Amino acid sequence: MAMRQTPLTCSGHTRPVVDLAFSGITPYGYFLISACKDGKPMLRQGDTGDWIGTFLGHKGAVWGATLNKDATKAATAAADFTAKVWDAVTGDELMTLAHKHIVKTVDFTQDSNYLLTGGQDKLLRIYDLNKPEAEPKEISGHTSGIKKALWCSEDKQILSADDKTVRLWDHATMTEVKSVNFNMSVSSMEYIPEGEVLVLTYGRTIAFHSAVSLEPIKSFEAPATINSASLHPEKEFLVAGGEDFKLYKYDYNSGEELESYKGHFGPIHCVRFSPDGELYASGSEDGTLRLWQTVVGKTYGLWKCVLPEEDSGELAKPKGGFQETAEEELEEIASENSDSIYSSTPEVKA
Amino acid sequence: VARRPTSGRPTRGGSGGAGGTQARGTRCPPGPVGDCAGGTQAVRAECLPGPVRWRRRGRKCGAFSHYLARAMQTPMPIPMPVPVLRLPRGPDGFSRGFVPDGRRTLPRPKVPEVGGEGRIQDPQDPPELQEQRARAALRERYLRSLLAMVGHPVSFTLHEGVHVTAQFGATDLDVANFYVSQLQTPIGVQAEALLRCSDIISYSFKL
Repeated sequence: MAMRQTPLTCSGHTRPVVDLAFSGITPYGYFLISACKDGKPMLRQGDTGDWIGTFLGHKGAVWGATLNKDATKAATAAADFTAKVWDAVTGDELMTLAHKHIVKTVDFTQDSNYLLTGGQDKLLRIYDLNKPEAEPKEISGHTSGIKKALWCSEDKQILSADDKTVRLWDHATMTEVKSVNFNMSVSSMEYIPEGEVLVLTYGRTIAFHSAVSLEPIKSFEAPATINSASLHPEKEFLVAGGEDFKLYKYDYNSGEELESYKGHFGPIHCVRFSPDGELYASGSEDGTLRLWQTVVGKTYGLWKCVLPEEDSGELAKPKGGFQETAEEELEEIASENSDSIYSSTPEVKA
Repeated sequence: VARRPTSGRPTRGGSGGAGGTQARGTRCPPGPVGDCAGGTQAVRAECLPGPVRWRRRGRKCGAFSHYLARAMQTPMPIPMPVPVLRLPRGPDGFSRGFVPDGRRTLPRPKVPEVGGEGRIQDPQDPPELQEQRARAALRERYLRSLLAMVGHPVSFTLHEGVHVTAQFGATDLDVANFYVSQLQTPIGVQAEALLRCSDIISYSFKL
């Protein structure tokens, strides 16, 4: 019986949501942090979207946000020229790291000992979180503002994207290993450790590269400009969203478009799968986050599977199929049809 | 060809099926657009609407009769929106959150492994929590012992020094009755019987 996706809207932000990140799976479940132009990043329970707390302290738009693996620490990158490290359990600010320009991206190492930052000053910085007073190590080389920087290959290497290039750096020697040029502005980058896959989006293209060699693996074209894409942990699907406000779901192996969803009222800036792959979250210009089920109809989080009713006549009634319409519309629709129309359609049943 | 009306509303609704209070007319306008009658998943995906109010546009008569005609010829499944328990909770509006008695005080209960009781025992737990953990562990062991007994011969010690053996079948929910078969009694073998728990002093069986 066909089920329609019910996205869960997480409200609270008052300006566009520009970045979001999930933690790993912890004994307390997994968590979600959202970066917003209102300067107030929020922490949410990952599987339900319930608000847990807001990190207060930034004085400008927050462009990037991340959680460490066990969701004990959060880091944010903001337009107030600082990156901040937070205690994700209490919400307290732990460290403020001053930069010379807007900071766009932050990433923890697996052991949470180091923080990587990047921004408009075109420098990658590595902070030792155990020595907050020490100066960070700096890597230069980018010729335009850094949009995204990620640790990869077990934190031995760094991937960074600026407007037209993606570069791979060696952590120990702080030197560039490889770089790839693009004709169009790179809008997002995601790193999948299992299989060393790099997901890149530019224009309407969703591209997959090897994170080790930066060689292209495959790419798909979407119907509209894509701002962000995410690959399912088991690499069965990918989801992407962009300027046409829609979310697209593709089969990773065949490239077939499986589903598309409207729901957001503005361009989608970021989309990410949860660490268990059961849902994906999207952040939009409309200031909301939405959670979407990977398998529509499955009982998970706040979604509750309902077994189809025995009687096909029951399901055929307007109430069953039009649950979302307002009351008066239900009555109007019912009065327009005769019951025989519905009960005579045998396909409308469980 | 009638165009599907788009909603220019500011952020408000669109959260889906829960309660149905916010969403408006999410039914995809059928008929004139034509692509809903297909029913293949890709085509259906095209029609999956955001909150769109199609009924109030004044085209209902023409569109609807067209839809009826189509529905009678090529009936399409009406997708049910996935039900939700509730909407995600938002900020409380007066604090920054991170309440101490919130999500982090109790770790999610680990799914108990079969035959094992691997549970994180935190020595910092308050005594009530430790006791509850112990109770839960003991209860689980007891229930598993009942499961293990199914189909095995069990000897029961009843009042007045009476001993009987039988093949264990099941207990009821409150463990008030034991359903057994081939009950060996001093006056013969009973094919099926119910033993009252209040009559039983003890029972034993070999694993």
